[in-house]
Amino acid sequence: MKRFIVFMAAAALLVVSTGMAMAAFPTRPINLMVYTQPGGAIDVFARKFEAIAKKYTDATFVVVNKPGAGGIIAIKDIMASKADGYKILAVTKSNISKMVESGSDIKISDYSWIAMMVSDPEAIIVNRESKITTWQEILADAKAKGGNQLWVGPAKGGNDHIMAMKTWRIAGIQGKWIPYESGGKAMAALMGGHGAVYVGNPQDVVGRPNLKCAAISATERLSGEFADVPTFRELGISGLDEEIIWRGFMAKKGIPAEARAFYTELFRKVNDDPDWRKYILSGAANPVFYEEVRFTKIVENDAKEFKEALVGLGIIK
Amino acid sequence: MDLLDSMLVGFGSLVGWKPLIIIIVGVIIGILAGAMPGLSPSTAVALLVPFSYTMTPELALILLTTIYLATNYGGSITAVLINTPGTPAAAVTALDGYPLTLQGKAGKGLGTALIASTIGGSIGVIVLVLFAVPLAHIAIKFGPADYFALALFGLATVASMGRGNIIKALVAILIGLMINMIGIDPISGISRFSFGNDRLYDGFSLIPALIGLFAVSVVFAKAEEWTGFNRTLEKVGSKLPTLKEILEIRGAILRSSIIGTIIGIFPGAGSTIASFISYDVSKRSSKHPELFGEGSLEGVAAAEASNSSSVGGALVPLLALGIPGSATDAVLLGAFMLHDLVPGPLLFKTRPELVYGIFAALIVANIFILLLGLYGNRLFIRVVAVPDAILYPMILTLAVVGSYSVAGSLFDVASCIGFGIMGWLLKRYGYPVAPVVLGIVLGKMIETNFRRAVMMHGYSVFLKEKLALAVLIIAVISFLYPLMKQWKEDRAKRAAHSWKT
Amino acid sequence: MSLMERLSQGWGLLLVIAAGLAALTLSGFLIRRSSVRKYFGEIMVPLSVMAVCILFVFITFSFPEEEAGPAVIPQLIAFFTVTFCMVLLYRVAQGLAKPDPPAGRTGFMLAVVGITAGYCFLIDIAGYFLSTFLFLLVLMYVLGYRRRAVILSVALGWVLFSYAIFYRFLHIQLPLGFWENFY
Repeated sequence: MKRFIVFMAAAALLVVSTGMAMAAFPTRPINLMVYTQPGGAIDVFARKFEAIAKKYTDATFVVVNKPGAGGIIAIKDIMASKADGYKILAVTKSNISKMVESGSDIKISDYSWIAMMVSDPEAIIVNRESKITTWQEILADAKAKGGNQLWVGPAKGGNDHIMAMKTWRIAGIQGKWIPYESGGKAMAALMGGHGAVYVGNPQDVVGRPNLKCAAISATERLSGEFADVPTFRELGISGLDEEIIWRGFMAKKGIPAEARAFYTELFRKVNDDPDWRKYILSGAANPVFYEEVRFTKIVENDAKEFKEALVGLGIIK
Repeated sequence: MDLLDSMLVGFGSLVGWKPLIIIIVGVIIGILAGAMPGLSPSTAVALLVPFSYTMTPELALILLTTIYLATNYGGSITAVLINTPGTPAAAVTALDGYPLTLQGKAGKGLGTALIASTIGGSIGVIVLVLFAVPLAHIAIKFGPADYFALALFGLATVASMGRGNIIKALVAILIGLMINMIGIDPISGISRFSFGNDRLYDGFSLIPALIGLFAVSVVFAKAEEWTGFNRTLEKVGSKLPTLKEILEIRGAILRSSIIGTIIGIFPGAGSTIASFISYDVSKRSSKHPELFGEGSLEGVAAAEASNSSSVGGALVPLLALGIPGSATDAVLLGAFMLHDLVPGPLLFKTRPELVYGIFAALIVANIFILLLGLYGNRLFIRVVAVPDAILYPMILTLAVVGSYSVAGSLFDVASCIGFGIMGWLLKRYGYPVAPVVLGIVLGKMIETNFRRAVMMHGYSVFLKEKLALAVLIIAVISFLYPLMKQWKEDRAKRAAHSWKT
Repeated sequence: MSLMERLSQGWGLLLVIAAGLAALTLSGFLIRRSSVRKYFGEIMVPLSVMAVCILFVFITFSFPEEEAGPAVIPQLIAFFTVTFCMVLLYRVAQGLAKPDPPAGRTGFMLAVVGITAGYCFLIDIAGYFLSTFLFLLVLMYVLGYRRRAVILSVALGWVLFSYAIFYRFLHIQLPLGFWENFY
């Protein structure tokens, strides 16, 4: 019975996909891997992409959740499958820090970093109802507390912690990083007044009226509700103009040329789609489309930075 | 008056056949998933998120929150009937529910669980509707020292579980805590005791451990004393609890509902701790504490009322602040985002019909849980009339599906069997397994909050924070008291022994 | 690098594990031959738990040192565990412990464990549905059930039920094994 159903389904899919596909790729459904459970931020990203991609291609994307070890399980799963282009992974910057941190044999160069689609600026966030609500007040309080100003955020050695350390170094202050299991819990701590500063992204402030961005890492101010948030450069801090969290897609190295052409074409179209741009902008991030060469350079640079920072913290040797 | 208007709008949004069908489907999925060992509320909701994407935001969120509520009841069914908690919180239900089944009173156990669940669930939702915003603001004021104290107090409930040897119960809890240390350390970011294995990077998942320790171990233990198959139980009573019996335990139900709601509100505490603490408190304030662990209706009611009421509590920080308070909340947050919604105070203003629609749906869902539960119990109860040679293989395959569904990994299946062997060994030599689960649940909460408190304010923080200090003292006394009792008993026994010889 | 650090990782750690296993095996062997034979489990369980705790403590020596660092709580847990295990052993020595329950059909039980483990491996190859069907047939037979029609219909019914409820209704992506190639 089971066999029959599987067989019929396979036959039906084959007929449908070969009948409708224009190019040689794809001829069957593509697995779009996600490294979290359904409902995680990157899962939402992948499903939005899947819904919008439907407008531009007849290819079917099947979102597959493969959670575990901050993405390592999914990244290794990509490595273990064929480089035929039928399996791509939605990646984000924190995966790179996990790759470096796990010290496993994963190499950046074993993967094809197809496209970066989102650039999400880092932000310094404060509690509107506390005494510290602007960058100047953060500086003054940090100097007064002499290294005991509490900064809350997700895990030690992650994006946000490294951003915080960079900020301290450049601004000439010292803070204490208090890690939480997740960004959400750290935000609760900021709201409860247990920490002074939270490091995250502008999106974290959306819908939470008692939080406020004190500074943003971008070359220009954001629009909309963030129009009055100063950039670091305006605050007289240089070298923090491009601290971002990115999201994009990767596959195993050596996927066929037609697959690569298919994805490049599709990602470009999705990036231009008004609904896609609306979704990304509603999260106060920037829709972008960086092709493989540029994306790979960013990833390599991130890996280098993570490595230095994690060695400095004593997390890896 | 405002609230009344809003609730009317909420109920108004349920008019029509679609929302009602969705609630019924949600309740059925929730009860089945909850009864299924391994599908914890967060996994069950996560599995349905992709499916809900195609629905309107209102229907999608009604479906998911209804599932969340119903799984907490569903967990009790398998806990009572076959000693296999369907959800982590139902581990407490099994302590008294399964003895009831063994005594041929399965109907009483299931009925009590159902009624306590729906009363608890309703109280949780009512508190959510009335006090969401002020309560959320109070909850976030509690700092790491308070959380540490609460978690340690949760551990201290072991005293009411260790029938027999308290020292063995303590060792069991410490084993659980140690297992929880395996994997990445959330504070320093380094990997601990994982022996370089990627699969151990996140540590052992709770669900495979829970199923292994409770369900698989029982099958292995039965295999050891196998003498050929039998009917699983000679006597299966399907009689429901009488109104008088329910009225007698109304105190336990109400008290546990309130404890469950309050603990549910604390981001990160969760329904499992709520159940353990309610069970402990109910035992201490019961007229018949000696019945706890032997099939006490009060014990079943305490566990179920509190885990169902914790759902309403856990939704408080999510809806009022946009902060996920439980693992399931985190999944729900993603579901909101998938529909371009941001939960939080603004949502009450921009989409009141949606927020109050969810509230109204949860109230209606409680009624359906009661109706469907009453009907379902008559079917479920037949499970224990099946010969054990058929039931036990089924339990094992259920354990496999359950552990696999956590993360789609066969590693979890293998560790479930490993925990089964461990549970069999522990039980064989008189160590209770529920404390191991408690240790695994509470380990990270104890550790991270302790270390965060010290990092923030130094070791003296536990003396300065009055509330934390008070709770810590109560917790330490709850640990010491049974130890002292045991020590006295031992001394008396030894004296008698030497006197004889 | 101090001696403790050397023993906390790499070859040093393997040495510690080997020493621990040897000590456990030896004590197990000695207990079997001694007069406290009937307390075998009562002694071996605390001993094994202690051994694992001591191993974990060795590993913590390789953790970075910091204020309230990653080693603190595991060491505390290990301390309490070892203490309470010692109390358990002391109670055996004082004659306060209950002797072990009599051994049951250990061989039969191990067979059940083995079949379950085999089932787990088979899922990876043959997928959930076929493996489960076979597993149910075999285990019901081994447990002594002989009514073939009932065995067959239960196994088949369960597979269909799990396909409908778990795979379709609850959307659990059960492993398909080699069946995946048909998809």
